[in-house]
Amino acid sequence: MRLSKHSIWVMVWLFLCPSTLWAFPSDPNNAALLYYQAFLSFPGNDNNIPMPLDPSPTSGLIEPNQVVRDYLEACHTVFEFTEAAVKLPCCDWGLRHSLGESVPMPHSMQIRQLAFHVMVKAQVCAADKAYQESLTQCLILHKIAQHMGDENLIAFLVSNAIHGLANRGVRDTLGLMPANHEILSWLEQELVTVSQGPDLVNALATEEQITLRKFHLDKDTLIEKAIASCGGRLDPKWEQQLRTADPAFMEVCRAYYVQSMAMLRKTLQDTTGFETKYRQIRHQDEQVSSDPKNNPQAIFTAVFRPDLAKIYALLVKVQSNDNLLSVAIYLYKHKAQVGVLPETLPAGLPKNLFNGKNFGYEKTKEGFILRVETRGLGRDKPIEYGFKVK
Amino acid sequence: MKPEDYLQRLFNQARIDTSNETDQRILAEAECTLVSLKSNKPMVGSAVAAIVLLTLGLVIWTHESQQSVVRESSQPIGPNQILTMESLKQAFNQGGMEALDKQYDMALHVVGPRLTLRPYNKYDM
Repeated sequence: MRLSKHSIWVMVWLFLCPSTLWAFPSDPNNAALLYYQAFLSFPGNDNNIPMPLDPSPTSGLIEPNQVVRDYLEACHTVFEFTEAAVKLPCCDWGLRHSLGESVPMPHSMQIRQLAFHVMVKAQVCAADKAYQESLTQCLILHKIAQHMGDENLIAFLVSNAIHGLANRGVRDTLGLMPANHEILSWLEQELVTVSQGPDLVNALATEEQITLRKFHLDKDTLIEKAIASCGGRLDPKWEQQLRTADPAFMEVCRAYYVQSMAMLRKTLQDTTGFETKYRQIRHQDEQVSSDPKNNPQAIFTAVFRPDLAKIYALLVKVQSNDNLLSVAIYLYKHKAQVGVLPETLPAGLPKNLFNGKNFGYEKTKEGFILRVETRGLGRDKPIEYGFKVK
Repeated sequence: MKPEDYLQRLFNQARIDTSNETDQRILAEAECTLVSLKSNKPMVGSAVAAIVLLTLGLVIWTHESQQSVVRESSQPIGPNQILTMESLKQAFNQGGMEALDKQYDMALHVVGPRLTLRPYNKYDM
């Protein structure tokens, strides 16, 4: 039977384009959709499991008893959705930015809960000696932190906190794990890809836009928002000055705010070290807080501008602890290869970002301690992190 | 409708809506007045009926206003109100990450019967 040219072309097309014939809905390419399904999959408490699960006061870890294991088993769908979500590069939470500051952010609460669940899973895996699986869960936490992002200040704070939680998980697992050079090298490589934390400048850019929109509101509404921002405790003199001000005054307030945020942005993008930057930001915070006494146009800025020195310190703490963990992994690898910990830290290791110098290092019976000097924050004593070595 | 019949209807309505002791006393007094109104002096009765009507109206209006104030103040704050960006920022400004976590815990409690893990307070890493 001879086929016509037309038939041959149809057959070729059918052969080359199966997707057009056997079209199947593809999986989501937005990680947020999978996270939302994970949130919906959290089990209820039909079995009256006593909650909340508290970490042990001595070890600081959740005891992996049968209650915990049963609960984690009940959450397996949650973990499946999460593991699928972290594989996707894109995560758009679908916030309705048109609502400004009134935008609800329930996902920030749920992602925080999800992070704690992943942390517990990591701890149970470590207790069961499944160390690489435990570290994988910690890497998942890092990816969750990245997905939380920095599209606004709250997202930034939650992301930064989950990033810190992930580091804590790694530290806990390393303390339980016998020295294994292969796993440590794998971990070192993986951490490089996931340790990119949230960007404070990005978060502040959104913050600025949201606040600038407020200046387009009518004066009374803006004043009510200012009062709410202070927890209902706006200085009565300030309130009086604002209520008697003319509309042109709003434009002056807006200009002051823009200038203040531009100065802050410039400071954050500067390449100076933490101590100088922190000092400058703190000075700007103090100036903004005290300016309204003599300069009413600073009132709204004083009320709406967050305490940036505190936020900056939180960011640097987590970033510095990324470096601290890198140093710890180096020490564990040294132990795995040579059999003992080094007497001192060699040159060329990542630094303490608070002072630009090496971390303090001391060998102990259980392992070693790394110290973080934080004099720039006004603390006399360094923060000590103990690492157990098996 | 006769004034006394109108009054009777008003009493019945008031009896259903009011629960306060004072209201009960006023109602009882008004009922006595209604009884004497029906039996005795029509002219005086009309004046008294008007006063009683006014008093009852005031009592009912005050009671409803109180109830509406109680309703407004007992409206629960939903999780969405404490989970707005504005509310979360206020929590952070007032108490840092700890206050933010407490607000999340509060919202979780309101959201429903979800199992909660004790948050790791040590954001030291």
